[in-house]
Amino acid sequence: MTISAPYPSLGAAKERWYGPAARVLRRHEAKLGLAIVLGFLFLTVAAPLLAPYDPYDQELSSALAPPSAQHLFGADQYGRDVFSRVLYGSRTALLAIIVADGLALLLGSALGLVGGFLGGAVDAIVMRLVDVLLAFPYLLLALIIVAALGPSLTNSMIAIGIVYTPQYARLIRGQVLAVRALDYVRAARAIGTPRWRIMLRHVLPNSFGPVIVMATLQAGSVVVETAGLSFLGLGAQPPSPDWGALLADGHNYFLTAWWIATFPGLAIFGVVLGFNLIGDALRDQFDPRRRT
Amino acid sequence: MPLEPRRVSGPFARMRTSLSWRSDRSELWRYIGWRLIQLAIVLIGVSIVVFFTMHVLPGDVAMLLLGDRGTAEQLAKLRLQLGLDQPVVVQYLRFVLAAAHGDFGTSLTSNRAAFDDVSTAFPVTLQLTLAALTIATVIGVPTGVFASLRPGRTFDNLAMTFTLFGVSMPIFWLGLMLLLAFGATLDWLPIGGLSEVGMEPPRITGMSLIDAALAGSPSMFWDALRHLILPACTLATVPLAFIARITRAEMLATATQDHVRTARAKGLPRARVIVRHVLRNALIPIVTVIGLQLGLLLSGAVLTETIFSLPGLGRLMVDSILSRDYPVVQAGALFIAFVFVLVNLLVDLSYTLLDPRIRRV
Amino acid sequence: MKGTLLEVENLKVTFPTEEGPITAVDDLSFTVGRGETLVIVGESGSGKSVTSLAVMGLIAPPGRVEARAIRLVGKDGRTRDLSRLPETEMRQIRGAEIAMIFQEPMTSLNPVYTIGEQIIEAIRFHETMSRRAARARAEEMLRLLGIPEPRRRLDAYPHQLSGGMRQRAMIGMALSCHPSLLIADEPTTALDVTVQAQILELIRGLQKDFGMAVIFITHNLGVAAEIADRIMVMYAGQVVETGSARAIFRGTRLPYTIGLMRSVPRLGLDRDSGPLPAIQGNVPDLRRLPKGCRFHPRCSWFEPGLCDAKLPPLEACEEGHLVRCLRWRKVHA
Repeated sequence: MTISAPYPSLGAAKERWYGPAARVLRRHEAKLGLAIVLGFLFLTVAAPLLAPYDPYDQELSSALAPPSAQHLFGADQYGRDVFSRVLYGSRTALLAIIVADGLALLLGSALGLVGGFLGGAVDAIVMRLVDVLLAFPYLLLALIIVAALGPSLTNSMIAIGIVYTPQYARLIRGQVLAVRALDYVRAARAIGTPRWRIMLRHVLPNSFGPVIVMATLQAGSVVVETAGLSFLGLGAQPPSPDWGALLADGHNYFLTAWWIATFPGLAIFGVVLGFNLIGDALRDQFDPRRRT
Repeated sequence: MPLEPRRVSGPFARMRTSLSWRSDRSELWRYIGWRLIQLAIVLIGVSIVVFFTMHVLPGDVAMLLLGDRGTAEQLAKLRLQLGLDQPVVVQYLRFVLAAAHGDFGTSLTSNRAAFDDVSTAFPVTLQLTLAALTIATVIGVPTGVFASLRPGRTFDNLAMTFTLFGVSMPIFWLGLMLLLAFGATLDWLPIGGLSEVGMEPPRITGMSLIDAALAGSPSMFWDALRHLILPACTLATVPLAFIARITRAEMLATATQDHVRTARAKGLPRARVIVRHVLRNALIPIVTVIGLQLGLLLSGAVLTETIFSLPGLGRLMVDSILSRDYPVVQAGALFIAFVFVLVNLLVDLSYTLLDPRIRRV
Repeated sequence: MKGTLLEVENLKVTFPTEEGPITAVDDLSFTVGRGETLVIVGESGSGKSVTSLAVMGLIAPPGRVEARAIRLVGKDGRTRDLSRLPETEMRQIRGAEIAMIFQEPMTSLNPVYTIGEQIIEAIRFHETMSRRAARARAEEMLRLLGIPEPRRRLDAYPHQLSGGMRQRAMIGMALSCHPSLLIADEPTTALDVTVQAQILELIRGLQKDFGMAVIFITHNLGVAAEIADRIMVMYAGQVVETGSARAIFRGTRLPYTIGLMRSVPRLGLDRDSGPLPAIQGNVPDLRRLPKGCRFHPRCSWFEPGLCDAKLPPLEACEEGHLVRCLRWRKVHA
């Protein structure tokens, strides 16, 4: 067991953003993660160019064909090329990140700002709302929202967005409360600076870092969970080439055609890993206590 | 899922963080009372959410129940029967009242009481969840401890890599891969279900392992175990990774605290310092995290049950949603949420055992 | 009891940082005699705490401790070199021969165990005795320390005691095995003045009863004046003055010490005497030490060309009184 002896006081230096950014990127994990994520983004754009087949194209004669030169990842039960479907599936994944993570961010921030700033009864209500959302295991909440709205890709993304809202709400609210307590903010209020300006000038810049960290970490989770909902049949509907839906197909045929499930799953795993790597490195930057 | 689960979160987080040290007995009871009130408020909120999403949003319930077959007259009669003409608040109260009696209506698919469907399925999920939690804790905590003892060295790096993978792993994919490997290719383990046909133990608790043990049949027990291993390991993977990581982080953080320095200054042997002064103190936040895994576990159970064809609550929920069997969805949602909130409260209260600052004198 | 108890020769402690290694303690040597009180005085960053941790062997990698020798005369009469001792033997020294108490009693005590448990733990690991005997000794220790109702207090948790009592409990824990040397790292800094006085009184009394030597670390000259037999002043990792308390308070020849003494508020100074003189400037960043004498940027006796050229060596300005200043002959309080 190691004990850190007290380090003598070292001067703290003020840095611009590229200092921390450079330090983050110095770490291997961050580089790998960034590479994966960039690769993923590239695929979403380049899918039409790279895919050898149209993902909806059925060719029953090649149904359940194993991986080969013609079908890199094999073919599914309708003879559709799995490789092409996986490539196009990246688009749905990206959509999920934008819609679900974005929704959670916007909604959560709004709630956090409102509650943190207005305080009092409004804050109490907001916090209770957040508590209620958190009272459900996350998938259950998503399930009942989808049950209410009806199974579809959009609805599954909305559901996941709502599920992740509390985390952003808490984060932003915490930032607002911290900023409110600062002396110079109190002084600003005392001379009559309107609250919105305080929000703009102080809360926003300060929250930027933690929000980025959270958005990055959540991005991967969002992909998995929307895929999960699709897997259960509650998200993307066939014949859409969503990774989760592909896995559902794979489940049905896993004894005879292992490739249908394996590759989409690998894709999901890869993307999540990439975001987690970056998020982890980013978070270490902002919260050095967690480092080794 | 984020790499480190939210450490302070859940319905009672604010109480958790703002805890001042209470050493007075009456203070403790007041605290518990306050928590129960909060619990009640949250449960009311939960019931409102469930009611709202299940009753109000899906639109015309009568239409859904009868489908296209109903004539206008039958629809009107059904609406009256279900009380759908009443104001929303009244409907809600009727719902809550009925729910308090365990009456959630009849399942549209099985024609049994919705609650019966739920209570039959629940023990399966409970068994799976407990098994997974046990595996995750028993492997996760020691891994985290040993990784923290030599940070940056081989074991630590390996452990961190594996847990990184674990945390990023989509559970449904993992399950399928394991099935492929152990079930199909190697054929060591069954590919689904709770037990082989003819090996089902007589139902006492509804949990196959316990029932088999109670029935005194080793072969049934072994069979039940074989069916449980893969799903439990699949479900345990992500929580295990989290627990290992947080254990490591907390051990490292605790090791730099002053009291550890004092313990070493007293000349205590290393092992003792680690176990009694680092681990013991680190347990408080670690137990928080283990408690928080419940949400992950319950969610993961849904997917795991689907893959391994286990007749649990998760699968029931999914099937009911797909078949629009709203009474069952309602019953299940409310039930799971209640259990979840309750267990969180219990975990919170268990801190009083771990942290004497919260305990009474 | 006369004779040297601890002899530290050329101690050097370095820590690696992103900008290169920094030397927290630079070529330090001192001795402590039996029953003697040595007070190490310095501001934060002077290296005073690191010194004591190094003696105890509590500096862990990546920090590095180097010394010609750290000789301790044990209770069994044997002399050991602590800098070369394997960890297993070092553990026997800690607590039994040398004990250490720290600044913050609240965080230095484990909050999840009672103080009784923590004291008994220390006792039973150094001496074989039954739980009951250990408990009895712990209780006796608490009584000696002036804690009322010691039996009840044994079962109290740290957070249930006041600051002063906690510090007494810590002292009790440290002394429970009758060490021959107590290292006290700013034990009274976190306490109020009245309690501070009590604790100092207590330590002095115990020192007499047990024949114990004390290394007392503080930034407070007032405390030094009260209890020191000898004083060692540290600055930026080096010893800058050492000598008997008498010699230093009577006639220090070091600008830094003079500055410290002047900045102590005194009763009787009236408002018109002007603002309290503080030493201008700041403690240097160990990564960017000034050339030559490390104090020269803040020194009123600074002579360009001399003081910033080379590092002053320790010179004797009188018998047993060393200073590290090139101009000490010109320096008066």
